[in-house]
Amino acid sequence: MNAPFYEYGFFGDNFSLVVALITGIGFGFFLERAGFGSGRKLAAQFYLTDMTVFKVMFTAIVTAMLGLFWLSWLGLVDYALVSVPPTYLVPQLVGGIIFGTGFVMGGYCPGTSCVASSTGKLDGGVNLVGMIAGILLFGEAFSLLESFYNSSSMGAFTLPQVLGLSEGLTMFLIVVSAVGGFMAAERIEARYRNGSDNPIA
Amino acid sequence: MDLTIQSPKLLRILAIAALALGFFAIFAGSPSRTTVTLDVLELASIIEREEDHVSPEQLASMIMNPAGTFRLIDVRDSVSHAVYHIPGAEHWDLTALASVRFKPLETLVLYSQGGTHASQAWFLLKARGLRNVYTVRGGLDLWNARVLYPEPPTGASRAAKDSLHYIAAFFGGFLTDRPPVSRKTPASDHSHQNRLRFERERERTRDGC
Repeated sequence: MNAPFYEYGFFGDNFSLVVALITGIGFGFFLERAGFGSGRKLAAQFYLTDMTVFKVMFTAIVTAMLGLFWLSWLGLVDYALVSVPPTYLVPQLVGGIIFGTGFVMGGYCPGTSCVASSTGKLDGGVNLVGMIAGILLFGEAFSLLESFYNSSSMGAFTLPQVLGLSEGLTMFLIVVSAVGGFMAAERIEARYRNGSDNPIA
Repeated sequence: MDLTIQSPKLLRILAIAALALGFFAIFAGSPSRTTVTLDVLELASIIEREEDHVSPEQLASMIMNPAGTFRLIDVRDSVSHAVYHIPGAEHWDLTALASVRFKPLETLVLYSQGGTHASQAWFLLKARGLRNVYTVRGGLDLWNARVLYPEPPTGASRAAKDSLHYIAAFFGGFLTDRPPVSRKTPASDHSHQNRLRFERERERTRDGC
């Protein structure tokens, strides 16, 4: 049996929604268990007093990357069928700035705002309402934004293609960066936790 | 339930494991498969059993009574495709077919002018591991002769001729012994509407590529 299962026709569009629901619940569970249901913990990332967001996200990237590579190598996943989203450089940069600003102001990203509201946190609920309002606003204004939304299209590409390196070497460099990053994160945390200018201590 | 790993020793083991998997990946080669191993006996058997193609009449029936979903692919050049193509056909040239993403179990029906290019495309897609790939026997030439402008067999009954005429008219053609008197007969209008509806439906349900 080969993955991706949807691409191989093992289930259709309707069942894929069930899979999405189960995956979403799993994702939310692990976000909550990682402590991402707390706006304080998430905001602490920006003040460098708690690097959990960095560590969890980078761990997820490394795990998924190594898993995808080696499962493909073993013939269990068809690497060519894994979706690579296309890059629209300028709109995505602008989107990233809006996303980051909202994140640092509200203390939550879209996923974590759902996690926080499901555990009854009022600030999470406010962020969730803001997110839904943003989606509605974007949808209604899409005709005005459409040309910008589709601008600076660069197609779908991967990091090895950009760097001109093999997939294996790119992966190794990312793993080395991750391990180095985790070690640096521990030191940064220790330094800023003990600092007198900790704004959310 | 606390899922946090507290043990520094376990963290070190996980870090070393990740580094080892990353290091060995350098020597593992690319997981993208651009070279394939073909089962030539299986391919020969498919061709011998004539399971590699559909007839123009079968294709016409598949389009008129779409019980299942399939994608019809025109592998001729883009100019020929723009001049005429079988209703619902997408255009992909051979180079694009080598890299375009299809679902592995998707049914693909390929045609070219005479059939040679479609057969080459069939082989190429089979080599990529796609299972349900077929060509249209005789290509567009046989489609024209059998579906679009069919010549009724000698001694064919009126019902058989009517059936051929109905199919031809559906696709905008006519029976060679019943050339159209006017382009705006009720029958041709009806067929034209059917065809437009079919084209619109195909366009709506087509996967983006």
